[in-house]
Amino acid sequence: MKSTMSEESTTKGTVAGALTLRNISKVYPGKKGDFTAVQGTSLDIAPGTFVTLLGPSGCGKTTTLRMIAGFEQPTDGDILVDGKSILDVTADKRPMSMVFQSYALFPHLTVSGNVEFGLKLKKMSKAECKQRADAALKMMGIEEYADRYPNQLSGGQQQRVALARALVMEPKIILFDEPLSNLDARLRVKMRGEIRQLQQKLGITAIFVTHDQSEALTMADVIVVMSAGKVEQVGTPWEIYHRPVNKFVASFLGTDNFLKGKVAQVVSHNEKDDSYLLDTDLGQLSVRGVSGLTVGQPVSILIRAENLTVHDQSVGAHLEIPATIASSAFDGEAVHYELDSKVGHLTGSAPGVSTPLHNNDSVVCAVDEEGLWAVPESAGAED
Amino acid sequence: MSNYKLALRLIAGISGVAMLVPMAACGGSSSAKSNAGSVSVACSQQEDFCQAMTRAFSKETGIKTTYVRLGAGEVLARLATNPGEFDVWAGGQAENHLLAQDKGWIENYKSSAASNYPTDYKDPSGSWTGFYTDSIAFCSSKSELKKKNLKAPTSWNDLLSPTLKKSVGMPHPATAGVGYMAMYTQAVLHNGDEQQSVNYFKQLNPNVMQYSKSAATGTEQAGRGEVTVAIALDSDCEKAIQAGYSDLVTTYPKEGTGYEVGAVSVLKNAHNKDNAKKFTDWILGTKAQNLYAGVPSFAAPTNPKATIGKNVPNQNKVKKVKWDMRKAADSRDTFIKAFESEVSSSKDAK
Amino acid sequence: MSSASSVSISKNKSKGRRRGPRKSLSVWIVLAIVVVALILLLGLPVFKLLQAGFSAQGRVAIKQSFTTDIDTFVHSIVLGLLVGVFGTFIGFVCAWVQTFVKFPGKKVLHWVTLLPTISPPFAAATAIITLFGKRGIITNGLLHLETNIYGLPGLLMVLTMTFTPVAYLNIKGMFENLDPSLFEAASSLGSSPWHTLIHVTIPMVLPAMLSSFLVLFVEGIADLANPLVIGGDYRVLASQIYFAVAGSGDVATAAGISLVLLLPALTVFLIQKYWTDKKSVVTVTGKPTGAIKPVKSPTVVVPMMLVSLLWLLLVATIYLTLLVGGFVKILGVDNTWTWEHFDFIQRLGSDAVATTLLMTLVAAPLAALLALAIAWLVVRHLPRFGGVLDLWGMLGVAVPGTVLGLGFALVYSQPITVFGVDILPPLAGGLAVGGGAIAIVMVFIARGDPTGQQSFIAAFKQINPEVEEAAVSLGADPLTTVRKVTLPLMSSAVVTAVTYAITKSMTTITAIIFITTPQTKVMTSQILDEVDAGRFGNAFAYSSLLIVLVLIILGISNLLLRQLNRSKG
Repeated sequence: MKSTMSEESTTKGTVAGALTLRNISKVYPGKKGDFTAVQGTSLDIAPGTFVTLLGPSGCGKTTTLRMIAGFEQPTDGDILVDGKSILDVTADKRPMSMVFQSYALFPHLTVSGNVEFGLKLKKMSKAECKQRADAALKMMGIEEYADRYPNQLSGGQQQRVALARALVMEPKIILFDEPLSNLDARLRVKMRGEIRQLQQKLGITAIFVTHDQSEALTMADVIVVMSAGKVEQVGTPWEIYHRPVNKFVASFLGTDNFLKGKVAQVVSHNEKDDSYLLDTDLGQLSVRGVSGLTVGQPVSILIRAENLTVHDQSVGAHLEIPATIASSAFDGEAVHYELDSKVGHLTGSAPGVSTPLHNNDSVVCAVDEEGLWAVPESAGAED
Repeated sequence: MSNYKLALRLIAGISGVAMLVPMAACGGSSSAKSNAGSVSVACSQQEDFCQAMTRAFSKETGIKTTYVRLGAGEVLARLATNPGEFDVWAGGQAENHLLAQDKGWIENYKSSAASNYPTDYKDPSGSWTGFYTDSIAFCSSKSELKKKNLKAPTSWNDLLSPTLKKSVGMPHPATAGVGYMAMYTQAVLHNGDEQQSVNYFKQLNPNVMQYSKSAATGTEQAGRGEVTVAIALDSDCEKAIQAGYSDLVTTYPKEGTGYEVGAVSVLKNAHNKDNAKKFTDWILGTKAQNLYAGVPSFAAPTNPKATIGKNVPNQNKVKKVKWDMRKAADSRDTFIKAFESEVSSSKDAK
Repeated sequence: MSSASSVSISKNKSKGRRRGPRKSLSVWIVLAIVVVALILLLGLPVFKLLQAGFSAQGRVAIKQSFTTDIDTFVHSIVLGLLVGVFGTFIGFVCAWVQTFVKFPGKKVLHWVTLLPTISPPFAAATAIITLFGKRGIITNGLLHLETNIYGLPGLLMVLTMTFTPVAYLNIKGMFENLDPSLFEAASSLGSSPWHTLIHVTIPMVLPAMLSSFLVLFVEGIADLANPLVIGGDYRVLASQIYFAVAGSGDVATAAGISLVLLLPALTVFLIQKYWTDKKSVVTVTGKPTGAIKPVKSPTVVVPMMLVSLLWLLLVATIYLTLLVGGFVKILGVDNTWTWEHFDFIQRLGSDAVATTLLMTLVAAPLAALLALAIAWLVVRHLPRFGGVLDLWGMLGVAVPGTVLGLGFALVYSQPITVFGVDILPPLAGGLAVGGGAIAIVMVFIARGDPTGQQSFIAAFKQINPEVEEAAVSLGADPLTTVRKVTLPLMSSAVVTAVTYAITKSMTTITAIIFITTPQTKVMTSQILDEVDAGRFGNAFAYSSLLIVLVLIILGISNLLLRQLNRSKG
């Protein structure tokens, strides 16, 4: 068992890293009753997929990752790699390696010592160890620091060592626990790209935990949005962003404007989305939305800030909302406005090149109706 | 990394070797027994004495002799837990040997070597035979006495002087025979009234600096000037003087004092009973008794024919109380209990 | 609805089955070994004592300790508290100076601070009497004082001195693992050096300070050798136990008093556990930072240096006294040069020396390993039931030596039988296998374990579990992880554990009084005899020899340990 496992994980190109979570739960018994960290989560991840677990802190994403890694045992359910349950496999024998938020570098070992650590445990010949470690360091662009100790490196370099150390093991699955949260913004963006490229090049399955929506959107093939121990939605970044299934997912992905309404008529019916006629404070609107809404059902209509452009006067759009500017922020690319209107508080934007408007100015918000999306009013977790 | 591994291996290696060596050594020594066999001694004398005696015996007879130095109380505790561990018990007051006999741990043996011994120095049934004797004395520091304007004490009552507050050394009756002998002595002086004895020591308590575990500790404390007077054996005081505490002086109470007889006995579950008897014969014989002078031990040999060493206190000149070995042994428990509950914990100490 | 409830039932079942992460077989094996070891070392002997302690006679003794003889109980507590406070304070100051102040001769100071660990019982006490007694060389000779060192002052001095190194090593180890940026953060927030010391530094090493206090308190109340020599009229429970056993062979009374002695020890243990658990400080994060910068502010450095230097002066004087005392007739009384004490030792032969050394070399690594295994299980694998193991191991120091030794004598002088089958031959006494050496080694291990255990536990708590998880995730099984990652990161704790195991073995006396045999003689018991007889010179000479031997062993093991630490940047 042991030998085949290590053989599989060292030899590239074998059936690699299909991961299945079958209804796993994690309950921590406590003095004041049990605490459910993860509740009946099921996932099917195809080999080579980059999956991010996205959610606010305490949503169970890290617990899920740690159950996959073998540091926690699910209270219920099963975890399978390539169709075989790994619940009875201890953490050290699972064909995966993990990159930690704190990097967890071994302070007493040099960079190459860190990277060779796992290889040596496989009883690999010295020469092969070194050759593989060198290759990993080179791939991460840190070969010149091979003989340094971790405390002599910058944060970004440390991050690369941590990555090299995990990748050199050629795991079927690589697990990331918010590995970029300790880096500065610029480096974070750079590392996103590098990690994504590496993962694609090596073709390994990656599970990446983060609470940063832009990290999730830019890196993932599949995003799993979690909240309060439950999976809210699984989908591609585009789906998650534009077709959220509920208000929680929408607001976690950055939507600020919700317009209340009621289904007046179901216009058309599709697999993924339906078209509706909705009654709102702004009159009757034709909007697409989550399928299966019924006539009379209260809904929330999502208007993303980028679909709500602010103008000093009417531009003749089909849907316009008069409003007053409460505050503004300029970031070069665009001007972001906080607005008060008769439908409540709104967030909108105007191109960066437009003339800045002042607080208390009366303005008109033009809504791009293509970008509207209706979700059930009450379903899903409230933020 | 590899260094660390090396260190681990070394540690493992060392422990491995270390494990084997003592076992090999033990195996070796037991298989290398000479024809004369061996004997194991519980020795309640001072280390150098134990060593000299066992060595001399071994040399003379070819019997491999091992010993552990233990106080009499410790021997009694071990005879209870580890019967058969020792073959012969040499040293310690005869009373302790009597107590061991009461428990059935001693095999009576009347050594022919002791046929000419005074009856005070041997048990009629043969449970023990004395091989040395000495008396309770006051061991005082001359310079400390001078500072306090006192003369060396010559009476038990001298010790109660308020001038001597926290300046008397007294051995603990539970662990040091002398302490308990002193208590029995007081009882004899009061016509056998044990409570009178306890009262005396209650009065003495404020003057006692420390109840020491061992008999000899007080002599050293006096020699150093930490206490002015120590209740001690005359032989121990003399030994301290010879060791360099030249400021010490030995005096005896005029009322009379107690004395001890250091005894030897053969133990019941002995694995080498014959050798134990041989050891008993030997240590009571003139030849061994003559050796005391050379060790040097300042206790007097009990063999009337033995040469008495220079500086050994002359036991014939000491005024002794009438000593009943049996009674002394029987009252030991009472005294020790009374001492713990009434004397040493009494508040007058403060 | 019914199907839903059946689901929830099956959930409950599986909840009971799997709690923590799946443990490797190695964890269970280690647990089994540790439990067996603890049963043999501390379970059976202590059980025998409990039996004796709760017998009719034992109950009388217990009752007496709380009624007529309550003073003795109070004395023990006061002594333990004072030793704990002073020792932890001085240990902290010395550790702070070693870590935060840069000055020449630092390494020398380090070794002098450690010196008292290897003081054989009686040795330091006799030296203190010689120096500070009523006719002491310093108090009377130099200062013309009439001081009485016997009693609490002398006890406090000698016990604090003997056990301060535990606190020193413990706290120093924790300092070394602190994140230096903490101090930078403090000073950048406008914290004065004193403020930083009190509000940042001390809270960070509080777990180490508390565990040091625990060990010191327990050692303080359980120590027997020193009260016998320098206790004066300050009666403590430990010596009561000794008098009961050694005097009258009264095991029941001794066991009863021992139970009384165990009570405060266990209480302090539980309080310390409660506090430390609430204040867990993780400092080895695996997110590396730079080295600690020396503190230069004289307002802090000067008083700290002063305290530590005065302390070291005291220690050095006492050890010098020991050394010189071996070469003169009677130090302070007759100061003529002589070889007679070393002649005496030579006459005694090398038996005891060789045997003691060998038994120490066997016992010390095993004790350190046991300590490591217990700490590992307690902190990493058995968060719920680990406390029991921890407590169990601590009995090795909490049970007074005399009593433990007696327990050993009671249990191991006969074969151990289970259902009529001998599973162990007799291990203690002259008739036992290996001449009784096995029982003595077992006592060494039992006595040597607790200090190491505490420092390993503190060290484990300091290391971020992610560092270990990283190793596991790279394919290291739990044991490999400890060997290759955790241990190298706690080299300080390793040094503490090994040092203490060695010195405890070399200096244990009261616990083995009842199990030394003609075949296996131990150096300390021979020193004890010499002190007993008032021959301080021989005792000094013998102690010097013992100290030199311990230093050599420690030097070698330290070199080995440094090898493993060398690569730590």
